[in-house]
Amino acid sequence: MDDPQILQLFYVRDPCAIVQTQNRYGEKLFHLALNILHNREDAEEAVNDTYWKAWDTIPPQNPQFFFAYLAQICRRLAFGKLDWLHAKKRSGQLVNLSRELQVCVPAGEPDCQVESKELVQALTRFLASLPPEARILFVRRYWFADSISDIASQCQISTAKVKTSLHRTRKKLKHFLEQEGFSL
Amino acid sequence: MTGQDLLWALQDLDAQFIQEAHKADKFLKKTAPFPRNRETVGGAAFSPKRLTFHFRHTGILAVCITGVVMLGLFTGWFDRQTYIPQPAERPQESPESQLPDSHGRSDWNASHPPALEEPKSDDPDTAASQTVYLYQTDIAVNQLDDQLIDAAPIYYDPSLYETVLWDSEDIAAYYGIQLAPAYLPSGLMPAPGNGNARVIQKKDGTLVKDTVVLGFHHAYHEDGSPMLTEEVRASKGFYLRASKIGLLKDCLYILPENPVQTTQLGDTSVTFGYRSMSYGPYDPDTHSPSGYYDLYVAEFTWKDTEFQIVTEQLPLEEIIKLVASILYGTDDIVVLS
Repeated sequence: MDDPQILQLFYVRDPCAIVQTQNRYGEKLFHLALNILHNREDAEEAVNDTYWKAWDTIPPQNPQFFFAYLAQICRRLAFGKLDWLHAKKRSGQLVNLSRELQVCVPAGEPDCQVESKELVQALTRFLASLPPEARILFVRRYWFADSISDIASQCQISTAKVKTSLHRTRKKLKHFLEQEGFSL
Repeated sequence: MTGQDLLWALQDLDAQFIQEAHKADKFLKKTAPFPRNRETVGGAAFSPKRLTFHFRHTGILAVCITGVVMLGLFTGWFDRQTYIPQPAERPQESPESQLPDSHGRSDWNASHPPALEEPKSDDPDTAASQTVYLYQTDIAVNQLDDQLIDAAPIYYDPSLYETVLWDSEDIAAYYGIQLAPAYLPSGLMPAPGNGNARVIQKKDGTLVKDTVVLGFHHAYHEDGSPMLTEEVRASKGFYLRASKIGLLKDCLYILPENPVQTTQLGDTSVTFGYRSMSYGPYDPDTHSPSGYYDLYVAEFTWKDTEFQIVTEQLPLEEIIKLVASILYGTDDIVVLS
């Protein structure tokens, strides 16, 4: 069953929508949640919550990209479940991602609070300016929280290539954020 | 601001980027490789192992290109042979870096893997979106000569042959496929006469000329002929010719030392050609034109039907999309630069 058909089930309030969504995207969503939480039970819970959140919001929402919509919910829920205080033990991957992205942060006051909305808009502009390949690797790494080896395997390229691309993108991001005034 | 803030901010990333990465994953896992000629690059043998992402061999390619450039500078060969991407103002140079000599490549046809992701009908996700991805840089474009092969229409003696007017139903019944591309570049319209074709048959009914011509241009005169654009005095759009019997060949590819390169799109070999076309008015003294515009040609045979598409004032991307849309029956085509 494809996305429009599943969405139609949501619109007519057919509970099969949940089953079909699970069949189609359950594995991917679980993988995403597991990347963030590193705990199977928590990941399963996040995915289940994702289905019900989708059930509650469609309609009125009519997502153009159904998977992206679900994944955004799932990621948000997974982050919500994450206990950052214990993240080092439970999710070294996520801590690593934070550290990697730390190099993108422009020099300035460490406690400087930035407007989240502005930062999102800046990130969107930055990603739009990237070549598709670099953007895909960046999103797979920092949005899907995929490991370097997983990305390399999926893309059939060496891990060194992935690291190099990500390194360059991070440098570009830092430069971009500085230009956008986030260092002030 | 910290790295954690950035990680959080990514939460609200545009869904389009997420979908792109998601689909790229699926694409990379399930489909044929992005095309790269790997048989001989700079004289070194390469494995024909699948290449599914843009990065692989980038370093090798960069070294090879550097080597070719250096070689060209020293021998002067570069000036004579290699192609440098040029805008339409520079005539007689092919538009993309696909000529074999410029990369030290040879025998593109033998090793050129499919350039497209072919939608799998049994894959519901792909079937739903029918997105076809391909790289523009993987399209081999041959340079066309100024002169055309003499392809004057054959004279059919009216005492022996008769002309028959086909309507759209006749055309559809004869070809059994959709001739018009699923994708139409923005701003173009079908010509008023697209639903008809004049075919020629012998008195006994044997078909001898079955060519169907479809036109898609930005504007038309009352008689159905395409209008010229204001700035560039040439039509803007494309013609598509199709025939089961065979098209008259009128393109002269100028690569005397090398075979014409074809690009494999799925199971179909496509020959792309390019020339920079001059347009008037011409200077009365020097006869130099007012300028140049791009003309691309694509020739291929699909489902026992020969196709030729000729685009004017359209970028390479558009003719790639047109061909892909015929071969894959979808207008959802992404050409990556």
